[in-house]
Amino acid sequence: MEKSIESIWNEGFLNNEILVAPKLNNLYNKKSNLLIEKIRKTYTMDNKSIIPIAVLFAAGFSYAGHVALGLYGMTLMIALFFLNRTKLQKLERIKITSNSYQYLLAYKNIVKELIGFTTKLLALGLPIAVIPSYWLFFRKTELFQQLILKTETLYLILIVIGLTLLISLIGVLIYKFSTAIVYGNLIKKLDEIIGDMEALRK
Amino acid sequence: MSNDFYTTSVLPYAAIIIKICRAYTDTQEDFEDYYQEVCLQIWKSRDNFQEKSKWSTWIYRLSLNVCLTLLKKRKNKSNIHTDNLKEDLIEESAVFKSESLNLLYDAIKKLSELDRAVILLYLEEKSYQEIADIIGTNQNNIGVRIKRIKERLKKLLDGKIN
Repeated sequence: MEKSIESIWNEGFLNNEILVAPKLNNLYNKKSNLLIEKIRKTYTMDNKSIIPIAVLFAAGFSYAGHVALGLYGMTLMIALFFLNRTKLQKLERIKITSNSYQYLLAYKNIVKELIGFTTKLLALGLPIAVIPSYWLFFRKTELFQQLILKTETLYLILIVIGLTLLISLIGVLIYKFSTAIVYGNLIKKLDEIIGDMEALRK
Repeated sequence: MSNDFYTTSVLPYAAIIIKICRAYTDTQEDFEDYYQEVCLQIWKSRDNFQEKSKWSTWIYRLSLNVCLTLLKKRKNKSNIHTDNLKEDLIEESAVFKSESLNLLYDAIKKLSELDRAVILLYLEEKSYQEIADIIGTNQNNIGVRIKRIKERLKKLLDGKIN
């Protein structure tokens, strides 16, 4: 090699035209699209995972002799699957626009709406759904029958209310915890990108 | 990023960023992504510049860090089958008008990521001390490293450049 690498380097860059900076267009475009795709896929997979759980639930309780409970639980879970699917379609409907910022903002709002909706559903709907399952499970047990016979109506009502609140609280806490684990990082990245874009817009 | 900041603090040093990004990317698309990411990081980290070094030195350091980070992330994510991509890569590597420079870049890209950083800074006429500061290593190793890298590049380029 006759030329040294130093001379190749210096001579190669003598013509400054080759060092023209690319235009800063569509900042964060690719990053935004990848993140949104990841969130969408995670939500879809998460929702689809309800089906095998529902089937296992039904199979497990049926095997243990509680067929009615198994079917009841499976029906509730499948209903939740379809309800989530309807909500997820909102995410699909958001069109990718040339303005990444608006697109991300719209996505973030819908994700927040989904989480809010599910939290309320669990807080209000879970106790209503679960208490009949307790009845289905315990109704034939002696303990339950003794409880019904010996406990005053007022105390029974208080027990039911207490149980309702407890189930509601546990349900919401478990949901919040699992959402943080599964989506926490993704939502944090979404917030970061939006924050960056807002800073850049200033 | 304000237009003023980009025009006054980034654009004058675009050559540095371009030279570094070219050494860590194979396609025009990747190069533009890396370039944008470096510019964004410069904007985001501008308050961290402590004036202990020159602004240009800081740009070198930031550009290298960003490129190394992006490369590492890409490696961790992808198992892309490159059979079909190879043709595109061969076309894309002819980035500069100077064929010798293109061949030099191709050879540089065959080095390890850290060696690329060292040789780029050396070719940019940075002192051993500056190279050591930017890379974050001991100055004593730099001379030996550069000698080894140059020998490797010479082997890679032998016969290809007249």
